[in-house]
Amino acid sequence: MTSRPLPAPDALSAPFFEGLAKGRLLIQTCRTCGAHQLGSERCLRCRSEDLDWTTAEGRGRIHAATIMHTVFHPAFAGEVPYAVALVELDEGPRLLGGLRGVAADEALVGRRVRTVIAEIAPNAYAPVFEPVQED
Amino acid sequence: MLNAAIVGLGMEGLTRAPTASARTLAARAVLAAAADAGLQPQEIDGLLVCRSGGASEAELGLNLQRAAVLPNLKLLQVSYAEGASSIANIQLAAMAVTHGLATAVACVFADAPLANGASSREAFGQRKAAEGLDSLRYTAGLFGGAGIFALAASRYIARYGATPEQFGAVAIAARAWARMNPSAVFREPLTLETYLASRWIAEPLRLYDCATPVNGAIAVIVTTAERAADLARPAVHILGMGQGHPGAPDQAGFEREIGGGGAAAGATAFAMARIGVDDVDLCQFYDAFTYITLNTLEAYGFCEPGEAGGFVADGRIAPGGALPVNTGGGHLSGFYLQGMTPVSEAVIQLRGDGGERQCPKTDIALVTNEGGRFDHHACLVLSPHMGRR
Repeated sequence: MTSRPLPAPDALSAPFFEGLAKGRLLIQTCRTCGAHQLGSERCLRCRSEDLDWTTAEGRGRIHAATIMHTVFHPAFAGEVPYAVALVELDEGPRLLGGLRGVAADEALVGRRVRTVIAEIAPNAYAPVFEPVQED
Repeated sequence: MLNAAIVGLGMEGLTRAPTASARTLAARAVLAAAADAGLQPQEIDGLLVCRSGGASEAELGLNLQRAAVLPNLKLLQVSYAEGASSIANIQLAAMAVTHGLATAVACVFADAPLANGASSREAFGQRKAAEGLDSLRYTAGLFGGAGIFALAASRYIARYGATPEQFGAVAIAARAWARMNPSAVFREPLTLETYLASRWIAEPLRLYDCATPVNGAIAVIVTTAERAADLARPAVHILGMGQGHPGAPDQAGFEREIGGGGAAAGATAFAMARIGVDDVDLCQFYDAFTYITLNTLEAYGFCEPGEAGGFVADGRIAPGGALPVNTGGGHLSGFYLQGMTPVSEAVIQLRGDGGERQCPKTDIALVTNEGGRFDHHACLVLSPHMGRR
């Protein structure tokens, strides 16, 4: 059985993945204007390069979601169908991850979720989302 | 003012069976396009190459010059704007011939993703490497273009309430056109019942919502309108062109799943061509997934945002409909050669070579390319008639 695809940190995302390994969901926070984001070396709002990493609460809302029914990768052969969601964290950034604990026929977009940090392989961590009650 | 026309078309492969390499197919397509135009290979003095996002420079790149034996190039480059690359290259060719940088420019795309026995999902599931936060795609199991566009379609459906029947209407129209195209891969009838019963690939996308990958190559030759008049085949004039790259981040306040660069590209191209959306007789869209056709109709203003599902539901884009779209079957039922699939079908229609599927009115064609997650868009406005100069 082929092993699962693993996170491939680059310079920009290394603190994010190091954070996951320590059980923390880190996002970028602009020291100049306070905006939150992910995935850019520059503030998306004020273009400052002075960014910090801060802990996000992990709560958010599903922006888009799919149920994957096709085995594109042998490591997922035993998992289809499985759900994947693009979640808009309450702080602003959108984050991609697996979605568990949802029924096959339920509407997913707009659902409230929380982030769980899952160990997907030994010492490899990725965000996974679980539905929660509306606030 | 633009002074440019497409005068040659070469198509090679277009098959799911194993073929020669992408580079060999590309060389054949370039030479076929030159011959179609009535040009000798040594008269080709520009070569603009694009390849699939997963392919390497060694597979298809600047080495195409030697593979096609083109000794007299004054313009040569590989361009990359994801799915928008093919039209981006034709735009560059049009500017080059207008201003004299070169006089006869070949633009080519080739890909050979289907090796012996390989399925589409094996070929495209993880074709592009993903690094950094983007690698979360593969750790989460979001593979292929299907995964990405399923996410986008889910957003559109949640926002506007588009129905499976409306997505199906796009697939069924494409198949109805493909049935009249000898080059299309899938030519059996497709009913709504069959569409709805087809297996999920990535919900909400079914099998028939997704493109048909092939091995193949398509090339066109671009030259000036004056020279075009002396060549072998009817000229297809480039009246307008545009691009749009919104650069939307995955961030609250932005909408990367709906919208994209089509509106900006259309505004530029329509102004250049001095036309409005009502002047468009037929469309050839980059329709790797049914949802892209709905998105593109809205982006160009054929209908209001959220109304494309209703727009296509009554056969409006199918054979006999008021707005023919993807008249060769597009990527869905024809063949997926990225940005060159819609370009080739526009050239065929505007030359009057459409045979059984020939559209009655072809004065203005809109041709679009889409790349990334609605990140990169390019278009052409084409006509058998010269523009007003």
